[in-house]
Amino acid sequence: MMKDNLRLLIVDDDPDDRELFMEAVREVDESIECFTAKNGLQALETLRDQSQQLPDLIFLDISMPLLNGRKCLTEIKADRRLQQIPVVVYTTSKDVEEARELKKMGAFHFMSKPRDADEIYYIVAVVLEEFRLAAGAKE
Amino acid sequence: MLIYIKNMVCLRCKMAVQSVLEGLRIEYTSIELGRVNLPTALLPEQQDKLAEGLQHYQLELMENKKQILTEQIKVTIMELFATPGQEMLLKLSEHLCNQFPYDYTYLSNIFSETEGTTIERFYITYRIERVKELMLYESLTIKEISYRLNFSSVAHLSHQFKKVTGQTPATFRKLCANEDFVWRTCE
Repeated sequence: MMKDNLRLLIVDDDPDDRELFMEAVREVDESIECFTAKNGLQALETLRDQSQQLPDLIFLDISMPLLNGRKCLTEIKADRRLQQIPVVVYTTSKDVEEARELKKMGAFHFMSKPRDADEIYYIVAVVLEEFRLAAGAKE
Repeated sequence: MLIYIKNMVCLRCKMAVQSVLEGLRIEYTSIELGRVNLPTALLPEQQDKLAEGLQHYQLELMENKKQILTEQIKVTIMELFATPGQEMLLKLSEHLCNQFPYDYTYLSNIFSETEGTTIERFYITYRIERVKELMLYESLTIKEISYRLNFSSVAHLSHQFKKVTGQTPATFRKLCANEDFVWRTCE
């Protein structure tokens, strides 16, 4: 049975973008617990900390310093404890080839960074529904 | 041959197209959301008259391939809500990729470029329009609608309804009791 309160990790080096995503997630569903990381390295440290509960879903920016999103995704998918966590990757790029490649690497979804906070709401809302659908199908 | 028409969203739009075609004595095989099947190609003057006739109903004849693809994406999403139980059985992105021979990113880019907004926004906004229809024409309760349209809860539906419309479902229902209230935007 799916638990009620989802935990969501947002990994983005831009503090404004982290805040925008968190606001969008709260607007979609205020019961979701959000926590953040400033880069891929910090994200992996958080995820590998066995005293912390794992997130149910990760939003991962591709372009970041200190271990970018692509490398972070590779590390997550190579780790047996983390690999089942769905990862939504996002980037300012609209490159179809990049999207295809990231999906092959195991990304649950690829999205181009929306232009405004309102658009983030709609994309986050649909991604969360797709996540719930996928999680429900596994039960 | 197929011709593509922008902004067809409902049965009334189909009836409008039918009326224009019949008024111009243009034979057709079938009329569906977003497109009409014609037995023969249109003459240039027929095309002009048809375009003019459709404009009267705020409908538009399309020739641009990106516009046509965008409209087909919209129709595919609208058709998801046409049959109870079909909504969101698959991931939206997967469903669209199954219908079109393109990656979701490509579809998303074309849609955003043509419409100025995202597929996700269109999907959610259209679903809320469907909520309104079910409230008004089938008199379903919010609970029944949330189940039918695959919302995770009544609270989720109410919250999203307010986000999109600025009103709660209860306020909307009260306003619609006033016959003069125009509730639908036929885009």
